[in-house]
Amino acid sequence: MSKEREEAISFVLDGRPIWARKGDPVIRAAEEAGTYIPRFCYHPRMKAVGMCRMCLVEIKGPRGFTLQPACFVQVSPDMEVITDSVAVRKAQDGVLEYLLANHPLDCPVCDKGGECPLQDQTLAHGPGESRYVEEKRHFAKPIEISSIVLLDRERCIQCGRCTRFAGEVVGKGLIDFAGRGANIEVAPAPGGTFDNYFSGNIIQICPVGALTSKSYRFKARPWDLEQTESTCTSCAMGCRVVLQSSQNEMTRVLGIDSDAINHSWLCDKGRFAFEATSSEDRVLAPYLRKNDNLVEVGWFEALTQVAKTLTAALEKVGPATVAAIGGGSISNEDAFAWAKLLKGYLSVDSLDCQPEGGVDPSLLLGGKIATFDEVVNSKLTLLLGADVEEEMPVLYLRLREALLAQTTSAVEIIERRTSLSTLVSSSLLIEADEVLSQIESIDLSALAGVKVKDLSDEQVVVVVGQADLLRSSSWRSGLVAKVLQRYPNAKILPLLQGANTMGAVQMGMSPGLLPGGRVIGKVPEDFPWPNPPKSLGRNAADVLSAAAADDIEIIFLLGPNPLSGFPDKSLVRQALERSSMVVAIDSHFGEWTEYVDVVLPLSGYGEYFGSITNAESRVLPLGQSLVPAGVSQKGWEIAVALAESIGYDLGFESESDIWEEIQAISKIHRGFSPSLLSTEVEGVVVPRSVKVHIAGRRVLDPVATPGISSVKRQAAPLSEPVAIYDFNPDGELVDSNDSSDSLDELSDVMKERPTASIASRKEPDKLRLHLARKLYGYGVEVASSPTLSSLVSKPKLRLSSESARVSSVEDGDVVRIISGDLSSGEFQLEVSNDVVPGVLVAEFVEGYELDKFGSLNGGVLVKVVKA
Amino acid sequence: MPEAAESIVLSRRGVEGSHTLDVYLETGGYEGLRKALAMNPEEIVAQVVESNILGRGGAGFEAGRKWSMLKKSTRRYLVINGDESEPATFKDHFLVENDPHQLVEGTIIAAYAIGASRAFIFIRGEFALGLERVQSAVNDAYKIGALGRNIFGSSFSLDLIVHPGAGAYICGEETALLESLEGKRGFPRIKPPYFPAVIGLYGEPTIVNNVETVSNLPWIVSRGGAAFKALGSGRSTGTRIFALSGAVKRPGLYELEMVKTTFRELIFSDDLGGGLYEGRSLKAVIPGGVSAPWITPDQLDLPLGQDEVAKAGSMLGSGSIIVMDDSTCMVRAAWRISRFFMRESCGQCTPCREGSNWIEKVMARIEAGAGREEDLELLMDLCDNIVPGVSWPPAQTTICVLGPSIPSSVAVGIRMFRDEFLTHIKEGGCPFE
Repeated sequence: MSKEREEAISFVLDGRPIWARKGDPVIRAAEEAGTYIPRFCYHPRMKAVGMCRMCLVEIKGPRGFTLQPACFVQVSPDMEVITDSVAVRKAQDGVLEYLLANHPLDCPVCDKGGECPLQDQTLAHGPGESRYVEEKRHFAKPIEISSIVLLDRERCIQCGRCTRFAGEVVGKGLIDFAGRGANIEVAPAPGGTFDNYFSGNIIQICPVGALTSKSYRFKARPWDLEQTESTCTSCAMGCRVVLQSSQNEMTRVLGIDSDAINHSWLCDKGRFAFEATSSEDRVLAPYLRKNDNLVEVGWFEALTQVAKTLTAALEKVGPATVAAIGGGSISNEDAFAWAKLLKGYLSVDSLDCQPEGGVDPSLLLGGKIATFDEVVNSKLTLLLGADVEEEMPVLYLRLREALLAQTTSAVEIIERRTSLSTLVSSSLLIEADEVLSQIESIDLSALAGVKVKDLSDEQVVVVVGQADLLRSSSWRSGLVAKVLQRYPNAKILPLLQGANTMGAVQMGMSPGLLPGGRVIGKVPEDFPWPNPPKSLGRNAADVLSAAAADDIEIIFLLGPNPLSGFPDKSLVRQALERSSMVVAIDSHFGEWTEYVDVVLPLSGYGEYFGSITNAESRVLPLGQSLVPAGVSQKGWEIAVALAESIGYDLGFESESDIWEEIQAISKIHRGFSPSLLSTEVEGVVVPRSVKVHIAGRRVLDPVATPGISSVKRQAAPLSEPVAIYDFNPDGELVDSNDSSDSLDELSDVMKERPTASIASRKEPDKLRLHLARKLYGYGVEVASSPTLSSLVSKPKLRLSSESARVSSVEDGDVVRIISGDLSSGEFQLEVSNDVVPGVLVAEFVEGYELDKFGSLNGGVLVKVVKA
Repeated sequence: MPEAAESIVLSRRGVEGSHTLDVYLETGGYEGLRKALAMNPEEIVAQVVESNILGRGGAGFEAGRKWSMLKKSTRRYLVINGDESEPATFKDHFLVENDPHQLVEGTIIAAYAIGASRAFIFIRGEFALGLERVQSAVNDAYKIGALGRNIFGSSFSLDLIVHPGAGAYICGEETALLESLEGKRGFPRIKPPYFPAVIGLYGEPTIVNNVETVSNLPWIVSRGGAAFKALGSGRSTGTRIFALSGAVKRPGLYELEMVKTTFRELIFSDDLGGGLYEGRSLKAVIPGGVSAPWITPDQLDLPLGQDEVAKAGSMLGSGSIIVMDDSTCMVRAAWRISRFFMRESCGQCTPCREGSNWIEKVMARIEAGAGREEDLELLMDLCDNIVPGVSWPPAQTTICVLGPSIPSSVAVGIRMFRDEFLTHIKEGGCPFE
């Protein structure tokens, strides 16, 4: 705050003195002072170009007052700016009339009609009649900009927002201006399209109806849309969104400009995932397997059946024979209720919200978690086994921006190059089984170009990725532990797989854990749960192995297909086949439905409110915009109902009941209450001892994101940043808590776990398989959203030239992967030195049976042979 | 009419093989450079400042002052603007084809004076012969040690790159030229802050000089700035090439001492323009390229001087003088000029992109006989939206000065020849057809 005060300067706006941040463009400083200057090309998240000339104002210079673009000129001390003179109005009206000259009058059929900045500003400033009697420009309608974006060129006003987004924000200038003068048009690069993970953003920022998505085009009128603020659940970033729906159907999702999180950007997965909510494979009612067929039944019958089987199993064999997999994609409230039922009442400890291995809970709970802002502003960012663009796409955009602006230096350690490799200070390709022994001898700060004496370890952030789906969590923990030995106060950002994995772990959905990082076996007398587990349960991989060996009776699958992305499908198949009962609490029918005995319908994305906690441990609200499909229920309601069927009362009738109990027993959530979510701009980071930098708040710019007419958390405050937290004179947060005691115990418990070893390669032609995590690789969103499923592409295999020589294969060969008796389908091989020798990188895309080689217990050795 | 006291940049006109190294060396070539290398760069700058040579590209800014505004930096660039693309402007075209060595020598002197270790000559792509000859001259200069490492044994080294333009008039605008040279789309940059002398090529301080401007340097260095200043009068020193075209008997290039000759003398003297064709009378003159407002027959006694023409409400600009006699349709003339700007607008900013297009369409309609009386008022207002107040010198709503070039002919045409416009409208066609 003091820093911002120092940088404040004063200038004169329409005769009154105004305080502004030094370096801010006049347009923003004026806006924060309550003077709105019309604009089209200006976008607060991109560099100003001063092209559209709509924001011309009079600024005093050596030659007196001249017309200058307010977006391009930065405020300077005592600058004099006039925004309301006759000259300014004449210039702006002239620009507007020029923009309209060739713009078609097809507003009644244009998707942007009703939320169009050109329309709105014409209404506010424009002439009532057109003086343009000439023939307007015509173009063939529409052309394809990417597989999901269409361009109607005659509507384009050449603001260059889309082309700048492509070049500046994404770094893929695949669209640009072609032609010149009045014939200028936006066009894809010859022979190419703007296909990338972020193409949908250009639809969102287009200030006219030139860019539309194939799926939304002609589907709705903006004034019919109801808007609900929510949080994206496609990954653990938690991008802030508005859901817009009409007649109980979601029509589109737009990104909110959140300073702390997504800067208004979304990835295409997040933008189109909503389509899955209304897909045909939704579970609309409970189903029960009868005579080998899933039959629709009522809630009562389904729950009674589950309760009966469950009670019998618990009585006969005990809690070790029951397990739950998943929970990283359900809300905090759902996770807590299920944890309470399974752990608190049934003593079942084998709950694992990270079936894919994930990141060790002791790191998530015991380490210092970095915020995204800390990642992009750290002195040294270590990217360990992380492919940020595939794992958390919008964080990739923010990191890319930070690396280009040099607000952080990064070192990447991975087995293959990523889209950040050319931007980081150093990209080290090291084989996973060697990195553990090598990492200590690598001079990380030197590689980042950071002087050791300038580096305190609080300024180090470790981004822990899951770029290789076959790496175990213990491998990741081992690597992080070695880094923490050198930088004990480094912060960690885990690229978790579930949108709410962090929240689920905090709610106790991992073996050995209870809510708030409390450890089983060390429960205080007054702990409100009657029957917490006595012994450590199994993680998901062990549960599946045990089930395959007939050691598990009942498996709950919590949330939308929690086993999607599990890299060992044959193990899953065996496990589900051999369990007595598999209960799926799921929103969609999916790949494992044929092995499931009971399906309990879960409300989908946009159908319930609640909260999730993203990877930076920030609690964010989920909004409800739809009536839940069929008789589906929220996750916690299903837990309560199942408990009732067994004969327990969880004591929850509403979300606030749940939060009351969370606050009572979770140190992490002390001082948090869900009511904060309606007042906090950017959600709430927990535990609240974490200091959050509160930047000046952004004013909602209706032209930056047309379609978001109002955002309640974004509305007011101006240049004075407001501190939300109470700090004592030392700068410490008042009522900070110390949760370190129980977390030390936690890591002790975790140490009991067997450590997976990595398969070592003895024979030179044996390659270790690296299953590369892909954004469109797996998951309910991809499978059930028509837009997203159309983007899935056949996986590619990559191999270093050295390994290709040993394996006698060449670039472009069509090959098969062989392991023992197993053989894959045919894939095209790319020989590339972007891969470490000895490792075969296969993009993991569901449906290509690459997961049949998988194993989380030590990696897989394979060969490649020509098909 | 006074004889040109001295021919400077056109001194080799008519000499056979003037573009070759041999002829150039025989006629005093590279002596200026040798002399320059024996001087301090500061001394050369001082000579150029003393000469008071005004930039010959059109804006007429003092070249020496421009040089002294160059920001200090370890890396500086010199860029020569040879993208001459305006209708009726053809002086640089002649220089690059007929005296390329003079240009190269001037460039080397300028680079030495400002401390640039790399220079670029950006030549309009359509000047195929000029490109070939300048490149040959550069190659020759490397061979004789006038370019490359340790030029003529001095400690000064320079590389000179000849770069062809890709066919856009806008790249004659210096910041668009720099963008183009960097391999980008030729969109002009916004000034401030992108003054080339501060943030130029590749972000480094850069001097952009016109071909004719630097072609004067060998002479200025050889004879001294004072000798140059002794020519001309007032701020307009030295000689200047005037490109005379249009309805005169002897169109062509005339190198004249500045201010010492009037428009009347240039157009009517037998040894210069030679007067109009028989039976014709003068209607108007464009005094400095198609972006300049026209002057009328009663202004013919204006001298050919920078400030003198500016005071009369127009500009000497690029030195291109177009003569229009009574057989010229002024509506068509203004329309053809607006069509040129419409075609050459880069499309970056709205007033220029849409304004040039709209104005051209209305002008075409009037010329074709489909005009309405209210179109004249509309045109003036469309001009006003590019140049607020339709004033001279122009204010502008656009990023670069191509914008304010659009309205001048149209606005001045309507103001001076309103009746001719009305005749088109009333008669439903062009009376000159």
